[in-house]
Amino acid sequence: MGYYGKQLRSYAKQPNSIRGEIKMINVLYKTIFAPLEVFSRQDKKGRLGASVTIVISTIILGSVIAPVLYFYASKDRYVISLNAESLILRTALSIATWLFVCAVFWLLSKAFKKDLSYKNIAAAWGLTYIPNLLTVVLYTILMVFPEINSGNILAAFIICTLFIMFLVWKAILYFMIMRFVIDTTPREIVIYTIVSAAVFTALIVIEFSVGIQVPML
Amino acid sequence: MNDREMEKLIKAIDTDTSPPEGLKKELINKVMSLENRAAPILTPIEKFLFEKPLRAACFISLPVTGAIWAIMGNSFAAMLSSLIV
Repeated sequence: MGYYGKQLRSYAKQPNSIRGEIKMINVLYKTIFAPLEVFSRQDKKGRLGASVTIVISTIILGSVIAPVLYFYASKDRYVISLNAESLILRTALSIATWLFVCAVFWLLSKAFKKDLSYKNIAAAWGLTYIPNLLTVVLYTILMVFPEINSGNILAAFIICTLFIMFLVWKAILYFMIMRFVIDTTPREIVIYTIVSAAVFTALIVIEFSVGIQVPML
Repeated sequence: MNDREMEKLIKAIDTDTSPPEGLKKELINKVMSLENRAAPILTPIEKFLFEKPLRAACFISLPVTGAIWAIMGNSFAAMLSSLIV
């Protein structure tokens, strides 16, 4: 039996829960390095699980862990407080934002007669949270260690480049969903983008008003 | 089954059959379209952006940051710092 045969046999021996995790990790890996295999109209096994995992991780990190870390890192320097209600509100609003954006995409797909399930859109859109997660990680590091960004021009340039890179990556993944999941025509993609821009702007304003600094979109 | 029927059956089995006109072409077209759906045809720009988006984002972000830096100077980094509370 060759190498792949052994791999297959060891995979088959795994319990179902571990197999599910392997599938999810595989989906996450492909989303980063070979997204054409993940972003398609067909329902892929492990895609929704990977999507929910990445969205929840991003939200928990951005809405709960980052403020707690910032509080403990800065309580000796500034007078700040940690409000549990605010953390819960931010978490709930971030989850609602994800579901709402998916609902908007789904309704538009219905309007354009695309025959796409809400689950499929939610799974695909959730995977685009990988750049968000990395942005939140970088933002949290800079919040806890602000001295990284001050005084060193090279460090500031690298940090700026990383933020722009995550933004461009997110935009590319957005257009991949439009092209390969929702399967839009050029006219439809323009309409989608105009509606999305309006919805995203409104959601960013709402999120800012409750203290979410990295938009959870 | 009598001998005559058996002979008929053997003859029928031995007879060469060919699919109806156009069936082969239709089947090939169907298979081709299914394959095209699985692997969509991409323009060179789409290939650059969609095959490896992370690499594309790296290539795009460097000149964009450079351009913003050239226009705004250090005030861009200062603006970014001010956004991080």
